[in-house]
Amino acid sequence: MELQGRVKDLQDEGLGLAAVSYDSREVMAAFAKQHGITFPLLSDPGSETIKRYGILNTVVAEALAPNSNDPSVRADVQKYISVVKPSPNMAGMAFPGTFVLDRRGRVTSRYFEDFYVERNTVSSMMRRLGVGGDAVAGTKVSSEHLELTTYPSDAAVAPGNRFSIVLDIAPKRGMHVYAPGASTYRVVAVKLAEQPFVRPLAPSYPAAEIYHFKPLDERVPVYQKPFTLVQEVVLEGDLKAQAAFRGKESVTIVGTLDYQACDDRICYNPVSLPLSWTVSLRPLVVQRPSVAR
Amino acid sequence: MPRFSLLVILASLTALEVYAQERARIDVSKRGPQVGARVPDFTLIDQTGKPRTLQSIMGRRGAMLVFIRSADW
Repeated sequence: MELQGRVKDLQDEGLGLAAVSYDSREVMAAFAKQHGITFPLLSDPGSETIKRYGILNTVVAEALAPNSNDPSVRADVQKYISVVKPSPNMAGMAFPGTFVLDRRGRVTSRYFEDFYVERNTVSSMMRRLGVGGDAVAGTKVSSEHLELTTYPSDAAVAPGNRFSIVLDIAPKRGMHVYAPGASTYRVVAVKLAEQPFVRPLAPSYPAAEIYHFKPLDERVPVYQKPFTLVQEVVLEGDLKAQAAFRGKESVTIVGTLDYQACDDRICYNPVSLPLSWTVSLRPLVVQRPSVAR
Repeated sequence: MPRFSLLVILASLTALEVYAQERARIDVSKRGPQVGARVPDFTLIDQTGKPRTLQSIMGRRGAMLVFIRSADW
């Protein structure tokens, strides 16, 4: 289980960790033993807490009800429960997801996915919280205009994981690159080569500053101080993708960082820096603990 | 009598519509406490048999509370 490997990182950030499911204490104990889990696995056998949180997976009840042949129910079953036939013992499970809470129990961020196999990795969530050390070594690239360090949020991912490709960019002295909204210049962007079962999500840009180019009295959004681009990526987790990834040890994502840099006198030609990121593949945990429910 | 059946048909049509609307509306991002809201407290038993509350899982800055589907399948 990915979470166990992150206990220390979360502790360093002052965050406690617990997981909740509707399994019995015996199942939790067996699972903890099997996977060496030290953080609390909380057992909610009647799903009371799951219901109070409002995240009971209601599709299960529909799948087991007379209207289970309704095409829209069948589609939701595939998406939210299982690609195989759901069984009655699935009743009571939660929609999987994560709440990050402050000391007073208020939600500071939350991560819920529609397709049940997709999960945010903890590092990716931490990256977006702006916390967490860089556990993965970065690749450093230096161009005429900027210094770039880039790395994936996770060294290893499983099918269905949602992780991030991080680019820390420091424009060189006097240089700026263009932010979204700059219409006549090439905006800085990460372009990933199309690849089966790898789905890039919309990139997230930090706030830009407005640069006043006096000779033309032009105001454009730019980055001139160090900034970070985060490109989230989903490794598809459906059966086809799982079959395609089976037996593979890693996935390499290829792309470019495109930008145009200018200083206060010259605008340089647009640049496309070739980049690649390799992450190891972890299998999905499918082995069940040996205990009766 | 025909009027009565019409009513019944209308009523079932409305019920079907309501049902169809219900069906279309699964959006997990809308379920459960949203950003800024306080989550309900709980007392749950952990794998060692120890009762745990929201307070007892907190670190000095807060906590990450992960809901998983099952440890069993």
